[in-house]
Amino acid sequence: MKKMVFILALSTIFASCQRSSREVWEDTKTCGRYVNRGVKSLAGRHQDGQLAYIKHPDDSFLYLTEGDDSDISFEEVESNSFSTKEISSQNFVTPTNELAAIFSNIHFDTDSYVIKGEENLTAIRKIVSYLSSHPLCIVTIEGHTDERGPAAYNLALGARRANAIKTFLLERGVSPDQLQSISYGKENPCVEGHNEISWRENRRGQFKVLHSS
Amino acid sequence: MRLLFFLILPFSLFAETIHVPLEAHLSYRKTYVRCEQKELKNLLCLDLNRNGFCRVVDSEKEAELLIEVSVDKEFIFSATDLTNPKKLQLRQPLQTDVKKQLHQCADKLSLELFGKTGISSKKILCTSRTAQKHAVVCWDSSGSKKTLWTQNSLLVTPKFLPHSALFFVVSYTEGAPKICLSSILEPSMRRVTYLEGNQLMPTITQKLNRIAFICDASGREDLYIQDFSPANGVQNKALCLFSKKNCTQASPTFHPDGEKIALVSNKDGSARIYLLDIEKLRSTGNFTLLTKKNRENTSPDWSPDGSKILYSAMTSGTRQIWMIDLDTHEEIQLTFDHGHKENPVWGINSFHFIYNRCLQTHAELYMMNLREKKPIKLSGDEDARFPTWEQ
Repeated sequence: MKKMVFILALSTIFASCQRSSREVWEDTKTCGRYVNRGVKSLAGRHQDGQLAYIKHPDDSFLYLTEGDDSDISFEEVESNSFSTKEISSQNFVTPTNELAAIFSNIHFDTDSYVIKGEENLTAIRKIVSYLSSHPLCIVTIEGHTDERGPAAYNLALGARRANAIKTFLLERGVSPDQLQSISYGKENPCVEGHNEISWRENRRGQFKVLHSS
Repeated sequence: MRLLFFLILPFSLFAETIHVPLEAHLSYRKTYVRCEQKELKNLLCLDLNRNGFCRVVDSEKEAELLIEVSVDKEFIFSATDLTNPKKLQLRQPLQTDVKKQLHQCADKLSLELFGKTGISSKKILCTSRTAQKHAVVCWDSSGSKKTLWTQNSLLVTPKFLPHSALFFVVSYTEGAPKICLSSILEPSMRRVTYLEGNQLMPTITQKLNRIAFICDASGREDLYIQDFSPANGVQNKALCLFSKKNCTQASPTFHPDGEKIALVSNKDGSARIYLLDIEKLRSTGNFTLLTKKNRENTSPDWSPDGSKILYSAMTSGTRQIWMIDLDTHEEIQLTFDHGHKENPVWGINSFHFIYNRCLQTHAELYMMNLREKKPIKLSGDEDARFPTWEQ
């Protein structure tokens, strides 16, 4: 038995060495999610199950939600839904002068949409403060990715980033009427290089503003 | 000991494997083409060499298949199997577009002799970008192209409606990306759905009665389906079919019966392809993982015969095209050369497929078939991304 475990451990170490640290981390995350799911199923909570229809408050579509840990609630859908008519992005401008210092880009880690780091949080605080004191200012949040991922998937990831920022602002009291989001994926890089510095700059949430009268 | 075993077991399951392309020893039908018009002859030779079964030869003596084309008052296409007294002859009135007529005959020949519907007469749509302009470009099998639509804002992920000249394309004209309907015959665009937010990656059933797309109207990038007809557009309300906190869904593709969807989700970590049964999801919510071999699996496309799914997967640092055989659940690597490959799309015969290869400045369009597994470049130096093939 000990021999078997030793051989298995040795072969696993060799197999793991073939992978990059990023791949090992991705697999660890996947394993973690499966373990979490297994523990929940022991308690009678099955992932991806128990789906039920609820009606979306704006009445434009029907929502099919899960009964698992994602816990989409009627209220959450309502708070995240757009209540304003969308305004064409052509009316929005890139912030300049003092506005540029407020609406600075939010940067993300690779394949991530988590807003973290003091620099990002400071930027968010400034934006929340400005939008709270300027209720007629409307902002388009653009979600961008770096050039490395697949183009189609990056369009979805860009939307994820834009919505992560939007949710962050909503949770801090910004009115949903002041926010809209667009995903550009990797289509509009702000830096043209093909290195880590350029990729970091391009993985961003960017703001365009409109002061309505 | 047991703890150690359970700790290391998950890692061993995801261990990398090395894939080596098999040496291909294929037989071809040696084909000689007799045609007085040089341009037509070259075009036909191209079609025959790309069908996966023929090789055009210079000498009639070594030929096993003789093809004669005569274009005078009548269009006459005849194919004679010299090893077996069998003859296929097509006589048609001469049409204004003789090249199209020739492609159609090459397609019929492929079906009659090799059992695979030909792809020569089928159009390919791609999007293209230059410094300031974005365009939808229509390609034919000989490599000639025609720009259908140009605009200043972004255009992505066109998708042909099966058995139709209509196609969906995602346009950024209004700011956020919206799904529009257009036609290769008439340059106009009309919006398909009126949901708010970003709408991306539309796809449609073979029966043309239902569309699926990704939309963030709720604040998440969810999978939606909606009833549809080409004449009247969307009907009834859109249904959000799958939503999950902190994960991203992308690139849905329908099974030919329209009851199942394969799509990309990163719900378990790296993006992988999942199978979702629409009817079962309503009752039990089952969501099956399809691709287990690789990470970063994207852009699935279900074959018209329903037996295979193409997708792009990160393979030893390069995104390659893979296929999952749904009968055996085997994942098979199809491309091996350098350069990231994305957006694979099946042809009507579930045998040929196209994809784009990404370079730093632009993307190139390639075609391949399952028999030869040899990439054929279709585009020149221009950008050709997000291909879709007429069905």
